[in-house]
Amino acid sequence: MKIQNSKFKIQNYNLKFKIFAFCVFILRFAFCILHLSEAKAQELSLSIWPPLLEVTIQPGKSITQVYKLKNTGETDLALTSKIVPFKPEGEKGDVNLEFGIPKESREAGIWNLEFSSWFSFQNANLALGEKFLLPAGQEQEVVLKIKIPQRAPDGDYYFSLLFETLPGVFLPAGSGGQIEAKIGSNILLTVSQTGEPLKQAAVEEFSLHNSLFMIHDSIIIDSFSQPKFVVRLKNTGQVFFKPLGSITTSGWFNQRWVLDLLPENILTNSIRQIQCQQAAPPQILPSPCELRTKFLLGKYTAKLEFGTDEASGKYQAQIVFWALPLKLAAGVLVILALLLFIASKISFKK
Amino acid sequence: MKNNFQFSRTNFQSRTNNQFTKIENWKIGNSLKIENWKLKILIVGILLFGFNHEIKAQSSIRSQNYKIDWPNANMGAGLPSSANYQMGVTMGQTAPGLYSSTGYKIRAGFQYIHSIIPFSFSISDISIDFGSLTPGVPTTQTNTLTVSVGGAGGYVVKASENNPLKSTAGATIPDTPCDGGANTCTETTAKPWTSNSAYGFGFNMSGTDIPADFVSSTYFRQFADRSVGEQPQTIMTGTNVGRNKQATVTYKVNISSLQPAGRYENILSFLAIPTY
Repeated sequence: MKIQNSKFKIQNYNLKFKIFAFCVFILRFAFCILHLSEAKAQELSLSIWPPLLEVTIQPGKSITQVYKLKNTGETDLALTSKIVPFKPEGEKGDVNLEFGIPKESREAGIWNLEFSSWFSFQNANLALGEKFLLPAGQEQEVVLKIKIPQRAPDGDYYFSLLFETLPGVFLPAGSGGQIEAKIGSNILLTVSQTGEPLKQAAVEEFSLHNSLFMIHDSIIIDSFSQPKFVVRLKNTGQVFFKPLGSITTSGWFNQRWVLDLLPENILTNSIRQIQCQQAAPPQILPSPCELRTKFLLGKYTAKLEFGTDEASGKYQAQIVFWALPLKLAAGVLVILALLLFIASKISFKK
Repeated sequence: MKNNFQFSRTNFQSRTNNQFTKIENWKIGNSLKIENWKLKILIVGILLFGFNHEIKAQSSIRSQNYKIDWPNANMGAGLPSSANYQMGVTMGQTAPGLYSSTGYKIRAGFQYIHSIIPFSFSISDISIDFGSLTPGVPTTQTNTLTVSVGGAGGYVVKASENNPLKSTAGATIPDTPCDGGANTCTETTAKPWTSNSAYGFGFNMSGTDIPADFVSSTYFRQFADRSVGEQPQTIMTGTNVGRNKQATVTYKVNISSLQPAGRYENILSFLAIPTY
């Protein structure tokens, strides 16, 4: 009887363990299911090099350039590529991509040149516009070939090479949006028979950002403010260029400051606000065109000189400004007025 | 095994004179018990930890030197070239007279930036899930955009949508007008959206290099709707070289009680491109 009782206890014990193990299994399985269905962030990350390609080429010639596209995220990506023309937007080097046929191109008949046929990929396993898979952490080398037709007219053509993700892989469970990412690299293409197309510029504006007011043609700034120049240059020629030059400021006492212009591209029929250079070895950083001065007094002359893709004084502009301690003078006047007021009150009481 | 175990317990409880046998059997039984416990612990351990099959993607690519290694490889990798001209990174003018012989000049990268670090763009999540929407109760979700300008002079990020949030039945949640009246927002101008009786779908931006009209977290814009010809709008822009420029997009949706039931979705497009 005791033995039977013991057997029962043992069997009961095993049964309990089995139930316990089964419960653990069910709970763990349920946790796994919940864990999988949890909305886990799927990061998307792409990088591209080079960010800019500048080409001057004769009609009938072709070149190739390697682009490195890398999926630096943790999600495999389905991608596609396209070439889209762009126009300059604003004055800071932004692009306005023209998806579809640009109106001007259509009207000018340029579209008939079928510029899309100018571009192709030289990869054995990838064509321009074709879908491809870029696994997480992997890099794809894309060899872009640009072939200019023999009959292409001289001039500038601006494009962006875009790589875009294909949505639809990770659908939200509820209402929401799918994210589509595009990364691009710009191509500035000059078609020229001679290689020396006409480059023309104009100074749209050369002024002081922090001027207080003007007397006749002279700009007045405060002695304690640092003169900050506004340089806006216009491309009036047929092809893009970089302004190479400087702003030289000289004063009454032979002081001299030189600010070098940043060689930024100015596209045809556009204006660009030019920045200056700040040396940060081993490279040069963009910086506002500002004189790092603590105190200025008297008359100063600032001269802008630059050339198109060559350091020359072909284009010039000049401004004259006076630095006066106006704020200091105003402060002193206010204090004097207060003292006079207090003095007059005291004498009135007496 | 089971018999041995029962036998030992029996001997132990019956207190026979054969002490050796009794102790031996008890030892055998006890050792069996211990082994059994080990087995049980192993089973429970497997049950607890055996299903953790999350696969970690390779993240070692995020080392400090990574972004430099790649361009270096590019520099020395012998890029495609013609018989007369080897391409790669040229930081200045090509030699005079070369054009007439080859028929082209080429320059990759920026002349003034002696860096060949790639331009990169990241989005923290590739889908935005609002879950089930409740009328009059705004729902928000966020996303982080990260741009590393690398060897580019500047950049711009533009955003648009393929169409407003749309259900499979064709009903739409319109783009938000924000609070309306003087506070009517568009795809180009952010305005306050604080009223729970103002319905629609919009977004707010916070962080680095964002448009100035996103004054605070209550200011929202509509996404540019490409289905009606609206152009993608700039939501981040910078003119300086830099790494990890981050901005947070906060998506907000609020529906009225008249909104037809359904699952609403659209495609939000973010374009990151360097300046020229």
